[in-house]
Amino acid sequence: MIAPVFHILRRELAAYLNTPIGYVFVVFFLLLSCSFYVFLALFVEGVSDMRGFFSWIPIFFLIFVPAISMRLWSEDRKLGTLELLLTFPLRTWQAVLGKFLAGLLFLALTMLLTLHLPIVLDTYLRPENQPGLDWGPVIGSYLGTLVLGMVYLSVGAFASSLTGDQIVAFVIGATLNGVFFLIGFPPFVSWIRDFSSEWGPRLAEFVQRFGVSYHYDSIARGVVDTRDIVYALTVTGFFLFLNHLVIERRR
Amino acid sequence: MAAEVLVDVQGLAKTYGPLRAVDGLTFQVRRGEIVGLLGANGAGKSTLMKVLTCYLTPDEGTATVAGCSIESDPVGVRRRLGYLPENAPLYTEMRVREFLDFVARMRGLNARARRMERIEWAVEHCGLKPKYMAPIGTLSRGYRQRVGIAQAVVHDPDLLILDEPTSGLDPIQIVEIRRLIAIIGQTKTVFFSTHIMQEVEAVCSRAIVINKGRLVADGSPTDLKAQTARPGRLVARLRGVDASNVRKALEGISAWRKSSVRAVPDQGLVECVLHVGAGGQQPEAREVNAAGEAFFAAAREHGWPLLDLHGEGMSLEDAFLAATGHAPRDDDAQDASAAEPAQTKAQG
Repeated sequence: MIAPVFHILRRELAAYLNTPIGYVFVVFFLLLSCSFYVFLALFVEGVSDMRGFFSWIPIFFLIFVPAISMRLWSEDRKLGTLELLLTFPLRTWQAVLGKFLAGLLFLALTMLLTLHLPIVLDTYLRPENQPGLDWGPVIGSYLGTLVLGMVYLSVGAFASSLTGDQIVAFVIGATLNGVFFLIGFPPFVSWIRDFSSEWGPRLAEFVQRFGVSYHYDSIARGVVDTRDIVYALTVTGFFLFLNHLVIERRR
Repeated sequence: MAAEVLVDVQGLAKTYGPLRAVDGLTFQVRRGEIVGLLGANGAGKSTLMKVLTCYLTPDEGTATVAGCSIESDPVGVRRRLGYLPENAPLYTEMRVREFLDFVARMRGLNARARRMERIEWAVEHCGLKPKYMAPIGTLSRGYRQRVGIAQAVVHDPDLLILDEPTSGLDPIQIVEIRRLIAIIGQTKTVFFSTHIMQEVEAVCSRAIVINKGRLVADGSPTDLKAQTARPGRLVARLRGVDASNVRKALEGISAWRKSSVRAVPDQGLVECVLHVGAGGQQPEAREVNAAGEAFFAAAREHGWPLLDLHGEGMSLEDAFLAATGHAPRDDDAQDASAAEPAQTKAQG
């Protein structure tokens, strides 16, 4: 049951690692996120923790994650290899899961490459006589980025299944993710809240729970709440289900 | 000896919107056969193959492959067949070795020794040794097609389904791929589509002709030809006569429907083609004989030195055109020969 998922995962991960485009995105993302953080957090704000870095991740991911997921199905559709893939003895969900996990693993590998930031912070930039970096929230935040990545990736994979054009897949993925980001984004939430004193707060409270940042922020604070995990799994499962549906519809 | 039925297709139909791409097909393929699926572009060949490989689901009808139903056990069906989709889609960023290894794993060859053995077999038989480590993206069309066939045979399937394995190849590559199909066909059942007639004559034990999603002919290539083999035209060659005189003399004779005459100046010959019988139908033997006698009489009367007079049977191509309800080729030939006399006159 799980062997085909693993084979697909392996091939897709190799496809990321064997094509220059994957590295281009990773380097771009790392340069952007790390230098941005170093500049902002260390020189402008002078803060020596990782909060600044992680608070920007949902925005960087808005571009980076759809760039990773855009090729998952579009490339197969374009090359015609979808026909090859779907005539192997496997069930469609195995392909859906394998591709999704390959993207997630690639994302996790990229995030591993940002680990130098907290290490440098803890080792070299610690102010004198100060305790070192508090690793709890950092680890929690890394977990949070994975949860965030899961949601964004499932949306992106679904977008990719809709079209044979990777650019179109990217735009659809980024747009949908933008919606998920926005409805939990604090300024947007307070904007809704201020709409009406009567129902505004209740609506804001309701809507923000569907937003990804609401749950990401809560995990990033180092509080791993089952509700946040359930949210991520539900949204991911829903979009992977849609992805599966789109592929099956073509038969 | 009747071999086991490997593919059993019953009333299969597949509709794309208003188009019935496959429209009630019923046939069987037995183990060990090499069956060529013939049809014009858009006749439904690829759709049929996509349904048999469970890439598409049929709207009506059923089919079984090696005893597995395409409806209730698509994974079982796919496990038993190897499939080369049209245009041989491949993962171009992978090397041949990596790709075959991936496909072998996907096809359930989990034991390493067995997988290596099968990959070696496929590489050997498909002539891929020189390109074993090459990225697929750098390969020529012919080699890609071989990789496509190699991935279809790597797991030693009962049945091989190849969708236009020779399209887009040069003549040498075509011959090589045909030879490969013939070799594989010695031990496997092969079902492949093509729109090239000679291909069927060259490698198939049986041909199935479909048109607009319906089966129009089914039999061995020789049967197919025999069904339509009676000569539809007579060809005569004369030496040292003037083409326009011959044309004038032949026009008045009613034994044939239409005659065309053209000069072959470099050989000093005049070639006459006599189309016998009503257009679009097989002429009766009597009509053909009468036409021959009438032509011979005319030649004697005018004192033409007759080098050669023979009937031309339909090629498999003509048989195919006739079977798919297209006009037989002699009408095209008329158009071509109508244009030619002017040309030869200018030269003379």
